[in-house]
Amino acid sequence: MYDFQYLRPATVDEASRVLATQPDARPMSGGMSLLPATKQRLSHWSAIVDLGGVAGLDEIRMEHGALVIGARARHVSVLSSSVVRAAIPALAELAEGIGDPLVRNRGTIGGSVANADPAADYPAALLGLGATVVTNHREIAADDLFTGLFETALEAGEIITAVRFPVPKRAAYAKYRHPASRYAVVGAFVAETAEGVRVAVTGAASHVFRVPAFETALSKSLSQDALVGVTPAYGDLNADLFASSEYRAHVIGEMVRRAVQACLHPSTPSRNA
Amino acid sequence: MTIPVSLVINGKTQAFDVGAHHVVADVLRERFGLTGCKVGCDQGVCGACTVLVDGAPVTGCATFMFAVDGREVTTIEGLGLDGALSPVQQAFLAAGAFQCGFCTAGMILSVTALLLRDRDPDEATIRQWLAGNICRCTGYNAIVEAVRRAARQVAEAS
Amino acid sequence: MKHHDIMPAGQVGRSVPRLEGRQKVTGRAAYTHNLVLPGMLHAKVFRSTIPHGRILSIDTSAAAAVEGVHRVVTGEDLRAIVAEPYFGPAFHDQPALALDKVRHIGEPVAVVLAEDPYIAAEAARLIVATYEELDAVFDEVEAMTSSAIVHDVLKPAGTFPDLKHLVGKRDTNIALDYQLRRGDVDAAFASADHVYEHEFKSQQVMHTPLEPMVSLAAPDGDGLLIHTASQSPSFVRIEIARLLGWPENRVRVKVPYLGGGFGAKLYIKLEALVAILALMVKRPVKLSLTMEEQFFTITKHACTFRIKSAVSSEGRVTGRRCEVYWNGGAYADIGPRVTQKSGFTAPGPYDIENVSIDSYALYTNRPPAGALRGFGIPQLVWAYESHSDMIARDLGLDPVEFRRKNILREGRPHATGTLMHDAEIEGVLEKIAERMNWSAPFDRGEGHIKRGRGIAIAFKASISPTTSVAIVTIAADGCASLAISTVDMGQASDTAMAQILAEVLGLATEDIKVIHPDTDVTPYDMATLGSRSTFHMGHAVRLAGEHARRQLDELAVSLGYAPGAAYAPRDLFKKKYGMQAGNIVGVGSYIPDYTSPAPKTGLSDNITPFWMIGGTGVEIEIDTQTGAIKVLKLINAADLGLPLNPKIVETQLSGAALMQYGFTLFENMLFDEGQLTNGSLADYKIPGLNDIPPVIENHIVDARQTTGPFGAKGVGESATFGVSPAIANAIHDAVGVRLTELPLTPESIFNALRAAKSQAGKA
Repeated sequence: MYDFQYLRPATVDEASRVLATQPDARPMSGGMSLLPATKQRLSHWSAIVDLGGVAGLDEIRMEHGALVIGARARHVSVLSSSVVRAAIPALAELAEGIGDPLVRNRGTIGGSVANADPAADYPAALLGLGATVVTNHREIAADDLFTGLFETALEAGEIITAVRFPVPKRAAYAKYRHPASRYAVVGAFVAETAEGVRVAVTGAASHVFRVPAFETALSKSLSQDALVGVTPAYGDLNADLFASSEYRAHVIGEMVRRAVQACLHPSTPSRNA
Repeated sequence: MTIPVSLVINGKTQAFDVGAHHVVADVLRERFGLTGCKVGCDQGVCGACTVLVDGAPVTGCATFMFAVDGREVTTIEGLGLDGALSPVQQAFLAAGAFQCGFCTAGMILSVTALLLRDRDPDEATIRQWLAGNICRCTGYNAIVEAVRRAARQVAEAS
Repeated sequence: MKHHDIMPAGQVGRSVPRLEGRQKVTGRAAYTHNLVLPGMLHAKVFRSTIPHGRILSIDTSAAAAVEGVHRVVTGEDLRAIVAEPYFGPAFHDQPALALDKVRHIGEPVAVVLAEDPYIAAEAARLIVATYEELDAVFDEVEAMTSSAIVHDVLKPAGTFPDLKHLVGKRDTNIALDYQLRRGDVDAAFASADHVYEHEFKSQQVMHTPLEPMVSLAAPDGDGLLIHTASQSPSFVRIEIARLLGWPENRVRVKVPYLGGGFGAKLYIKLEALVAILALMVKRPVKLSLTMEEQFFTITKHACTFRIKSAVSSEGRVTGRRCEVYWNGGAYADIGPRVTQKSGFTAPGPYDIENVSIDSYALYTNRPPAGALRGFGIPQLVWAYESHSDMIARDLGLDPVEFRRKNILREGRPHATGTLMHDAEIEGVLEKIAERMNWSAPFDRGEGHIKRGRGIAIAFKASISPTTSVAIVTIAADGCASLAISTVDMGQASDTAMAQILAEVLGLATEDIKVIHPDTDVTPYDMATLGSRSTFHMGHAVRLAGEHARRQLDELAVSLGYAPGAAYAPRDLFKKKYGMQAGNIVGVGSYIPDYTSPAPKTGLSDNITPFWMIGGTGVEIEIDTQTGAIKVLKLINAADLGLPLNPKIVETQLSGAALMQYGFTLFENMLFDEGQLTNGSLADYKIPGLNDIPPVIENHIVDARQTTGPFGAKGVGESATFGVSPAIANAIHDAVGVRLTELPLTPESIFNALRAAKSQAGKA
């Protein structure tokens, strides 16, 4: 691995200034994705801007009826938070299913969201719950955030500080995990919100996406029966040597069905498909 | 560039400079001779390089050294007192929970962290917790037995 | 120090804890991985990016210009030290760095030496090679007839007499064709009530020892010292001496513990390159592969097996034709031995009058394949035990009953003509049937969760003829040291060999010192492979112990003890030398009897010194909505003779079974035009604690190897044999679909279910 500059700013503003002026600088939160990528030379940067020195970004709290999770909250904090468990248990369960304990001890929600890995779990929750991403500059609706493969609407120097989740009536996440990486081959997040049912799918395409056909059907009746005969047309689904796009399309339907089942019967296990 | 770091390694405070790109496993092995920490996959997946950072298991090959500045790092060499084996080490020995031994230090450290959090883990918890520590040799049966044995030993000792 | 002069016997058969246990739980056991020598340079390899081509140019200037780079070396540079730097156990076909041609993606082309491994790695990225691309061949069956020829001329090493006819052969990818002809197989098919023919494929996988391959060579006076994570120190010494034109005693090879081997670290791998580099730069050179680089270095053969059987209406197999194609990759390694040694067991552990076998070792443009825990047997069993179930089900016979009708029993001739002895095929079959509660009703699941069960049994011959030598030294205080070149890579050979010696000498196992392989000190051993050590080295250690014991007895008599009277060895030394002085050295050397197979027929009346028998039964469930499979119960049984150490044997069985479990359900090297796409443990799945069956049982069948040391024989591979077909048979039992290609992924199960459904819809 090669040498680079290391910066550890104490404030978000300071970090933002560096990132805005150095195009090859890269922010780092937990470092779970960044370090392996650096070793494999998938990417190259001049500097790493360690956000570990910025205080106060890891708080988890309720604010005006919404769940607010600081960007540097680690997966282990989310899964064990009584605030999260009380407000959106499906989110805690999702965090519990990320990687393994070694990953959950270091990985953060902000890092996962900003990295926008096509198979990451959190983006499904953000999109499925209609969350809002709070940055140092503005607020971005999850619907506008994920734009492509490892691509987001975040601009240079823009740093996620928190994610705000509206509390759904009920929600669940079902995941078909890759046996090795434990990332989602397909993950489906289903949430019944004030505006209707939202269905978000991760792992299956270049970035997380919603499935309107399922949403319409489930908004009429949140039941497995409502899914019968609904066959959404998907755009380009991922085809890799692990799973073909046809198989992924089938598994999306099955994971959505399981997530619905888990919404209706929260005690049924849905995570380990 | 080099960065000054100061941290506690196996109970002793160490202050020194590291390269920005240096990872925990390499520094522990090369600078401190703590070769109980092994590098297997070098991608943070196999768990052979597991060390404890403030009591939590972390993959040493996938953690920059600067990220543990100010923290407390424990390696296999830091377990046990005055040459005596820790309860988890004793349990692994008694259960014969290893073959080639390359994953053993990481495995023992992960189990040590588990028992700090959950003194009586059930089988499902053990399986989940050790999912990131790969053993290519034993078939794991003896490892699960060792965790149960260690839990009993810890319970009896307290 | 304790003195156990006279101990009651009972060392053998006792679950002695591993001698090195304390070192391993404290992280202090020695591995080559940890070794650092003063002045050492780190080597980083630059690798081919094309599967097959002629090297036009290699530009190393940018790499050489990097600050901190000591030297950049290409294949042609190596010729200054060794004119023909080609190595290999069966063929001298593999260059230490590519010369003229590259033959697979990932082949070493050049190497950067630097004091800082980070710098070596960065500089290696700056090397640029250009090639004239040649047509490539990747599939083993296509390689039989392909116009893409991997090696222009075959270069057998001359080590094995049965390869001599291949010397200088051109324009072929067939590195070895083994054939066996017994009875009249065509007549058997002509007169059969039923004929079944199926084809099975198994995929290329990798051993993934957690300690990646690593070797370190250092100039040592006028010789060379090589520290290496190798399973075969004696072979490394002989092969390096051959390359350098030196006598063996100028090459010293040392091996500490290995972080896993499984066949990956056999014969010669990185040692030739580091040896030449160390002589070139006159400094120690260490080459540590990454996990990804291991995938380019050695793998398990992908295999295509066409099997055809003649069966009577009562379910007796009367004839069998086997065609086996082994994908050896770009370099032969030990593939030709796999082709023959495993080839002759291709018909399975069954009593069949008429047999024809053709087994082909093929060169392709994939990473090389060699030995992997089972030495080809699991690929064969995958086919013949799936085939067994397909026949049984078609005939409406119970799969266990079908096997009972056909298995080889004591005293019956195997396909080669060798009579079966000490082979508990029946015992293994019945143990599995009993533990599976086979005759009881079985819960088949409900809704979209379907349950099924399956079994498979198999056998393996030992590698022959091979030699082991052991030296035991008794010190004047009566304690014993055992010098052997057997490598303890986790299988606990140190402990098992110490048990044997302790038993012979009447000492406690824990008091025996086992000296690790150091070819200046420890004598010749063929290699630690193929579950051969317990039998071969076990005998050598027994003989060495008996030799020492005999000398002690003679010494006692010469000093006035009555013949057969008890004595403490330390008293003998004291009496003889007047003080604590002197040694007694016992030597044991063992090679079993063996008859090479006849060239045309493949027949032999003594094809193996012992048979290993293993079998597996599983219960599974399938989620028909996704094809997801869960193995609920995994039952392994083996005939390993009398267990020297039951507890350690059990981890050998469960470890072997779980390894094959990974090869069955998810492990798969995925290639795109010769390019490996999942060469990292983040993408290539090996079983974790979360993946394994909730119930795993390991059973040692009542047996005794009458020719083995203390009734024992090898056990390292036996539990791998049956896992794959047992699971495929259980899938068929659960949902009625038959998979013939490994691995058995959810998608392949789902697709088979869907195909079956649409087939049923049409009917």
